[in-house]
Amino acid sequence: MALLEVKDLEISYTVGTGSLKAVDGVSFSLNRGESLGIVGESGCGKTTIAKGLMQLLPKNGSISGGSIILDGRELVGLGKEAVRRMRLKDIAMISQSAMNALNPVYTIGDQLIEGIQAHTSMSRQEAYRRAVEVFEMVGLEEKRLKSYPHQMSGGMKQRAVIAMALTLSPPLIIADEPTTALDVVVQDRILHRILKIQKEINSSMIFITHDISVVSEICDYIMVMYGGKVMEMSKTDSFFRKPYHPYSLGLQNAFPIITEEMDELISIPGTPPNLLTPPAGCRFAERCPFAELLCEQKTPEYAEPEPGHLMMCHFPERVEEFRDRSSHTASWDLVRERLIKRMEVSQS
Amino acid sequence: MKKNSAGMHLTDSKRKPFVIGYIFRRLLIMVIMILLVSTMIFLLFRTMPGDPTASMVDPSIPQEARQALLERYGLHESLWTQYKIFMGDLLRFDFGTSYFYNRPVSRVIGDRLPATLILMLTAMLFAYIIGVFGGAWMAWKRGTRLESAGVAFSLVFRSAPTFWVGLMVIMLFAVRLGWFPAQGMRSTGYEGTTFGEIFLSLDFLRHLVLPALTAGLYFLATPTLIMRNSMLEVMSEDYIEMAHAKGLPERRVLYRHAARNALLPVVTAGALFVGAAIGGQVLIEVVFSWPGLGREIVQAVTRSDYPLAQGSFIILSTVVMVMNLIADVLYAFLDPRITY
Amino acid sequence: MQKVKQLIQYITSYIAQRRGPSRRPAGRRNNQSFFSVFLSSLKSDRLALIGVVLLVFFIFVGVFADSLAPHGPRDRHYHDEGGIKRLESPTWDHPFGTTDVGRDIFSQVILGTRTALIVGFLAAVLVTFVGTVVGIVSGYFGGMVDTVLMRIVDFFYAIPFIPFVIVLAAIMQPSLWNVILAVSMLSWRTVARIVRSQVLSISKRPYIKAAKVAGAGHLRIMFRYILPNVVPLVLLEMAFMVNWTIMAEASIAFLGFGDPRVTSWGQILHMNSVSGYSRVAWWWNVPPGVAIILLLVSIFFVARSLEAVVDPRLRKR
Repeated sequence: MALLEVKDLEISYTVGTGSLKAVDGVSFSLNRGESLGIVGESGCGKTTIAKGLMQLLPKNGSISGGSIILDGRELVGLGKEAVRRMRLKDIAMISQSAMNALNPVYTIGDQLIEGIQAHTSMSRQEAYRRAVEVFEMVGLEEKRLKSYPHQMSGGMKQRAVIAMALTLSPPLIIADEPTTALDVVVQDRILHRILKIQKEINSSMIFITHDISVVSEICDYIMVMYGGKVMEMSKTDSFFRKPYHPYSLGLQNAFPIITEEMDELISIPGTPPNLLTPPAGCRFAERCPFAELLCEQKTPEYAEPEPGHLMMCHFPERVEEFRDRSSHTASWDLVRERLIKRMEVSQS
Repeated sequence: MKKNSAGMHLTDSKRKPFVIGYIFRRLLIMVIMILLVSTMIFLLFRTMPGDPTASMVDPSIPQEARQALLERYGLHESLWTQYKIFMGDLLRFDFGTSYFYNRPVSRVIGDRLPATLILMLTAMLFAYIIGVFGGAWMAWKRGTRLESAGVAFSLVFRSAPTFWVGLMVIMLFAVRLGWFPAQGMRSTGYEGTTFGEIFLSLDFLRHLVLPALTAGLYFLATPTLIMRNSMLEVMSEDYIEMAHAKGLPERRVLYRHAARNALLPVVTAGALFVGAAIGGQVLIEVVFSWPGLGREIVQAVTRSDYPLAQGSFIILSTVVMVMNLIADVLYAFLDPRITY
Repeated sequence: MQKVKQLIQYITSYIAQRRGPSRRPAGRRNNQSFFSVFLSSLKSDRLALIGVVLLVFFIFVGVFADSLAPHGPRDRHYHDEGGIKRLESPTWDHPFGTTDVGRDIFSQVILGTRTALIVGFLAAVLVTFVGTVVGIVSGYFGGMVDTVLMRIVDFFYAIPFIPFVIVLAAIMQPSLWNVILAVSMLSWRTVARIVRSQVLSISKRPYIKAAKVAGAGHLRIMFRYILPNVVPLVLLEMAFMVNWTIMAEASIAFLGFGDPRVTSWGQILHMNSVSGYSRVAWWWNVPPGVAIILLLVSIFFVARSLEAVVDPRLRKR
């Protein structure tokens, strides 16, 4: 049985007078020891999924449908105290902004020990020893436990936050853009450390990022999100060998792999849809170079062009043609012209 | 509950000697400041336009008698000589002799200062405890009617002149209801000699209630409103979300993490507020006939008792500076990011 | 007129800069002026609306005090049979009653409005002017200049306000001007400190550096580039200073160190207090106190919503 089973998850925010579905019908499952990368532009709902799993949604947000089953236990609708016990122990989060994720007035050690003691009956000495252990795993010296956050570099703080997530060896770790605030060299080192530790303690991991190349390096599965919906989901190697969805094609071409020769760098014109007034058809239709009338009218069903490879598009069979056309900037320029024309029409 | 009581105490032992050095440096600055304030007040009394001695010795008394008085108080000397004598005396805590009481000023101040400090500290303690918790609570209840009511209430008391609130409080609780005495620090006939007899007696506490309540209401708005704002700001910080993500109990996140950080601006503002607080104190002492230093300085000025006015002023400034110092040290203690 | 337009434009661009595109609610246009942002926030903020209405009322009363007051502040009123109307509780003729020597309290309170407004605004202008100049100079030049100016500010923070004003009032002749002067002498420090910290952060912005590189003079940079950025903050600070000085004037007058020739709310309360009737004649001391509270609260409410326009994080008071 899978460790984590998410089914038809819906998360809504109330904004002003209306409400929007930031996550709309997302399903996936994850086995122990496996890792899933969620990619997409900002606002696509990937961070909302993380917050939803942790039940850390802001006051105007709530899980409005679906289920989250972790290790056979339903998490949706769990009481406050049960949610509290679940956090860190069952699901730990490596936060998006590690720079500010540590309380400035307490030492790192105190903050680690506090987390451990909130879930176990360990004595302070035992908790301290555990903190030293996880510090070793992330490559920080023991004496750093006595440091305050302002006395540490960004990389060290990030490692401290990772250490925090590891303290109770949780079965599931969610890493939400854990390296965005760091410089490239440090980023790379930290990514590899996360990967190594995840294998070591055999946790499952959900890795959230906007950088598709990161996923190719460290995740077993990939899930591409757009406008609150999953556009494509498969094993990582299968995805990078043969992506199907036009959006994935655009993303992949936007992050060229250095070893491959490519003279044109693609960018996807336009902006994600406003989810307060979601489009009637495919969410990506407006920016898709291959969109037809059908796309704007009807939301496509999921297709499974290869076993275990899901995608949401009306035309899974035309993928060869799409792949070819999407690698040329001309196809995307067409979209840009189309968007500009529409804007002019709506203004006049 | 788990063993949370073990609490947070992994600290950097290197901080301590710095703190002592810091306090020492601040004390030094404070002494210099006191000397400067004293110089300023000395000059104010003696270099005003017109006859500078007019404000000290009544010019309408017969010329000879006046001359004698001037000589008696050393006012016929040159300014520089007077200043040297004044500063020399000051360093020996000698503020001269009060014209009105005919006693050393330092003795008069010594009698009055405890009453002032007790009233002020009681009121501040009251205001800060209620303000910090009330402010945190208002942040928690953000957007509700209760919160708006709390803000409006704080602003009204912030806007009400202390002396007027004092008058109203007397009219209501002392005259109409007769619950508490309206003025003074002890009932007539009650004579205490030791500190404990004077300041720990039930009679004294009954007299303390109304002035302390009035002062407390005046002090209350500042910590409440700052705590509320600062709490709102802190609650959106990432480390608060992180604390939740760690699975800490709600209360612990609220008090250990959010309130602890939100407290910092309250302390800073508290330091700056002391100067204004002393002003409120003066007015309250006048309204309640509280025999403290604030009332004394008003009377001294009205009676042209300038050595007493001068001495009281210097001591009141010193009180402000000491309170500032305490607030700064407290801040440095609360915020590990402070480097000395 | 041109200058005013420019000022509004500065403020607008300042607001746009501070709020950033993400914090502006959808549907608002970029070229909105400070005042229309303020006005639209009035619609949602009922407290601010109450504040504006009250404030307009007080200003009206203050401006037309002479015509609105039915009697002179020192006129004595007699009964038909000849006796002085001593300590009469409110009647139709005297809505707030009379004093122990038969003066009309209603007229005194109306005239006191004008005094409060004059003292409040004049002292606030003086205080903000001095404070802003010191703050800008200190923050802009930094180094020695900053250190010296900030030590002076520290020095003034160490002086207890009311005792100082009492001593000053004793030395100088009690007059309204001396009160304003005394208040101003001590209060500029607050503005200076707040403006300085704002200037410190503005000075780091690229366009200030660009102006320096382009060879603009110190004065030009300070007043052409930095000043516009602190204007909203200064306006806000001024609102708080108005309150502060009104309260200070009332306190001084209450203690009996005010100008005896000018009717003010503090003075009414002073007379009430020395008359010995403060515990019975509620009609004598309630109206001026309520007037002070209402005026200050109205300014607070307005300032609070101004503050939300300027920046919700700026203030700490």
